[in-house]
Amino acid sequence: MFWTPLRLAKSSVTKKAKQSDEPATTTLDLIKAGQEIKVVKIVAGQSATRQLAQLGIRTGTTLRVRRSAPMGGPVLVDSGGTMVAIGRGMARKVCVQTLA
Amino acid sequence: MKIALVGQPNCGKSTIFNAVAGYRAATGNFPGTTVRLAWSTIRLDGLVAELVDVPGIYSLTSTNPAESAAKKFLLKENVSLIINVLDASLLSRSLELTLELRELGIPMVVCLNMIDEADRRGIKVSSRELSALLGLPVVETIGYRGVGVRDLFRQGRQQADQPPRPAEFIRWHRDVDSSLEQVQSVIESSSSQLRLPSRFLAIKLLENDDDISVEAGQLATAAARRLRAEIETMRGRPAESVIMSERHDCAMRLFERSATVTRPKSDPRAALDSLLTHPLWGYVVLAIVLVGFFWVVFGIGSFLENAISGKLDLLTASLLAQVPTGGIGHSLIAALMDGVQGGAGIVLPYLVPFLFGLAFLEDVGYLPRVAYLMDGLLHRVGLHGTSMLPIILGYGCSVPACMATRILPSKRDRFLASVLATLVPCSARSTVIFALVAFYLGPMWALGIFCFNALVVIFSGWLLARVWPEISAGMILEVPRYQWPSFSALAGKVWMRLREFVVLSWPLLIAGSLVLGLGSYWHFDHYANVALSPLTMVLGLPVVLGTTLVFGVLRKELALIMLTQALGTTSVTTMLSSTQIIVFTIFITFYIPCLATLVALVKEIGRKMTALAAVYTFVIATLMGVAARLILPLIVGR
Repeated sequence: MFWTPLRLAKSSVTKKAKQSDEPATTTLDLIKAGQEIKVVKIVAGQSATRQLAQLGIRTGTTLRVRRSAPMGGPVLVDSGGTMVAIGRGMARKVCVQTLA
Repeated sequence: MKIALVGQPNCGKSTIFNAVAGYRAATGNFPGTTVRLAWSTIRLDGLVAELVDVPGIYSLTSTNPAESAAKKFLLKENVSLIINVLDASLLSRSLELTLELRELGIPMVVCLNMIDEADRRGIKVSSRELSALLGLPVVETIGYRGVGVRDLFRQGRQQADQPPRPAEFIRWHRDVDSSLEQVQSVIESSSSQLRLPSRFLAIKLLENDDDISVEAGQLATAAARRLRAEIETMRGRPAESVIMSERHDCAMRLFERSATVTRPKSDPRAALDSLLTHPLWGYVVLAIVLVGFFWVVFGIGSFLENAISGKLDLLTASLLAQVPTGGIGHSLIAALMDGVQGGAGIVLPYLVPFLFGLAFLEDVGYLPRVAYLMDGLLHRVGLHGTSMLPIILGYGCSVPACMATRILPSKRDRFLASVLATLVPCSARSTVIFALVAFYLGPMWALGIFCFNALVVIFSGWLLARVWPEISAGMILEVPRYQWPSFSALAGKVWMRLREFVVLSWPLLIAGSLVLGLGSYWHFDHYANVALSPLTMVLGLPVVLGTTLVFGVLRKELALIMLTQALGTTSVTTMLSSTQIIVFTIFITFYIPCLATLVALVKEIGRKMTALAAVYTFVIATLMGVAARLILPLIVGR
């Protein structure tokens, strides 16, 4: 999609992640429902990172995006049998790679 | 002997607690149902013990007040046995907490709960293998059916004086382990009187847990700081993250050794979820659920009100016929019967179906889905989806709703959510709306009031978020799977909430009715009415309703009963116009939270904020009341 690189350029956080990882890296809020992804990096604060990790969302884990709500709503991911709703702002801090 | 039920949120601790202690702790299918400790004295094969239901924690590092309460309890109180409850279908994740709890050195037994759910998900756990690896007894249970609970407590009792022994299988990478040992030796040499195991303190220090620094002493804290930096340079990421990974790896190894995963049975709930979280249908279903809920409660309630009130009216008439009119006896009997009728004929018919419906929605697990659906909208007003949980609970009762704000990490979010939760009509205020507006003016008007209220709540959220701006941290909320609630759990829950009305509010209501009856016999109520006449005048209400507004602060449903008492008739429409009924209801719905809620608010957000909330709600109520008074006549004509 043509607007995706634009979006990445705007956010300094994702830009940094982009430099250090493969070019296919994007953020969780941009993933479509049904897609399987691998978490590459989480750039949230200490407490949020811990909260995500406790729910099984940490660097290296594989997740499936179940839903991505419209109008700036949250992303619903399947994490090892638990569903977790992640607010859009938080999802923007989770860098991921899509898996086939 | 003190036994603590500890586990991750929504793993069924309270269900097990209730299975042993009778229905004492609130249960529900969403994370964070229990936000404070619940205590009960139980008998175990002749031994008396205290059982404590601890709020759910993901780990011993707390992120919100409910979790810190749990942590403080475990570290400070002398717990003689931990029953660690695990959701067996989420085994590997749950084991991370088990590994952390183990370090506390408190005797412990592991409870593999929801074993039937794990089975359905294709996860077969060998509890014998797990027990051998952990060096702790492991008992399989199905909490809501009570399966295995007796065995759990029997094993727990046998374990009670044996702290967990070091297990061969549970070990960390050598570099982290050696750092740990260094901190541990500093702790041991610098302090002789330790209440907690030195290894536990060392781990927590390396995890940068501030609460522990005081306990472990300055020397150890300094040593830990140095070693944290060392770990960070060696591993390339913060020490707390390294330690979390160690625990995670260990939990994964335990899981792989003790469980086999086969293909899960097909689950119709997944299909249900794809409907209920659908970007379009999800909202349609939400609207249907809410409106359907309203119609069912109104349908059952008005049917019961008609049936019960008719019978009680006959009884009152026959009682009044026994005493001469105009005497004090006549006034007393009339007042007494008003109170009785108010409870049995007006409040209970709506309250019971309402509480049943709400309990069902809570237990089935729909609320976190609502939070998911509403998050986008709430973000626009400066809140996030997790705040939705306490606000929805506010439809039941404002008191637990205020307490439920403890699942929110930010102080500002807690303030916003608790103020909004008190603005939402609780079951008592809903009863007023049903019994007054829906019953006399028709259900569409009542539905209109509920919608109007929702708008005011959203507006208030928007306004307060501007007054106290802060970037909301964003939602991270576990959405649990659906569970079909058992009837006994629902009934227990409804009764727990109803009991308060029956044993506390109803007697108060009858007493209040008697006071008002006597007051009007001696014309005392006159003074209160005069004092409040500016308010009633502004709202365009009859002066006699002044006292009822005072009673409304005690309990919201009292205002309704007092209304019929003050007007001297149960056929309200002969005394009040449609506009007056609506203005009265709107005012009652919004103005100052009831006494119990005020007390709860002071506890949650402090005195100053509570005063602010009370003033805000009063102003909103008056403004909305006046607006309704001015606008409604244009619509209804009177």
